[in-house]
Amino acid sequence: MVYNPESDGPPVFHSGVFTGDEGSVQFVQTADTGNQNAGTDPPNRPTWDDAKDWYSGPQWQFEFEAGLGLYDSREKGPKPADSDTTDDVPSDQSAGASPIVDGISRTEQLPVALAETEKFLADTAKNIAIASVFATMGRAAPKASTTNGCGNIGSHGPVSPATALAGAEKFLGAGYKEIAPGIFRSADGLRQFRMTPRDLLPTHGNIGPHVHFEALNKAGKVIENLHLPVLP
Amino acid sequence: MRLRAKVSGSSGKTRHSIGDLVDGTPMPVENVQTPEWVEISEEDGAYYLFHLDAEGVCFADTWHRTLEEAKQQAAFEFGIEAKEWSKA
Repeated sequence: MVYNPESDGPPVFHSGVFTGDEGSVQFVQTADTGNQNAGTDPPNRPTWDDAKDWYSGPQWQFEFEAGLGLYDSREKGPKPADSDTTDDVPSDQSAGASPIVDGISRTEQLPVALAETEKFLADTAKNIAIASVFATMGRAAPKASTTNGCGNIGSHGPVSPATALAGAEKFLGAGYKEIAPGIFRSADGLRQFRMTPRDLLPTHGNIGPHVHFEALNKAGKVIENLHLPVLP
Repeated sequence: MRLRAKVSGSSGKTRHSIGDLVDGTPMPVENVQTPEWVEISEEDGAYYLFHLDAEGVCFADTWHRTLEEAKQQAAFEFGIEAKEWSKA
């Protein structure tokens, strides 16, 4: 049977989620290249780097999902703010660069034989394979990133405590609890916001008044800790 | 109660940053350096794991319910073993 991307849609030969200490890796095999790892999970590989090495090769697509969800991948740096131009392909997809589509980085260029599939995905900007996997998880597929790096990250200046609190409510979602004075944790236990008197009237070091947006792994370890300066 | 340990390297498993709010969403602006020392301090019935520079100035911290959890965080981030802690 000849695969026809126009009628058959993007192929999915194998997909799943690998969960390690740092979060999880969403992976989808987009080409039947006889990958010897297909159908197996990486044994004893608890980190993103390990998992990435295991699933190396152009036939795999990844998304690293961990912590605050602020990073497209461990190598790409902070994720830019969402853009309305989600149909655009990232501007840095020159030869040698790691392209990102739908928040998924590819470590290599796809072989020429797969160019049609790649073009189909880029043209429609609807990676149905990825979307279907996210759909099974009850989630929407991520939007495409249009730039790398920090992008437009705003004023960088301190915010008011009220603004920080509003951000915290959005960050934690419904059902969060105050587990200790000034320590708020999301219902799933994976996000934490700290705003204690010791943070607002800092008694340690020279950080200045600040609050914390944090992400924890399933074992309760802090894996991301963002200090947000606030106005005194 | 204060305990201190020398940091010899980072596992890279935890990312500390200074950030901003963009449309109400926390966004990292600048990564924070690896500390020279870490210090566990009991305060208000909880335990802080402070990150200290070479001059002993704190520039980051995490919060933990118990001393053991603070030590486990230090082991997770910096590979610090129990025997490496000393009284500050």
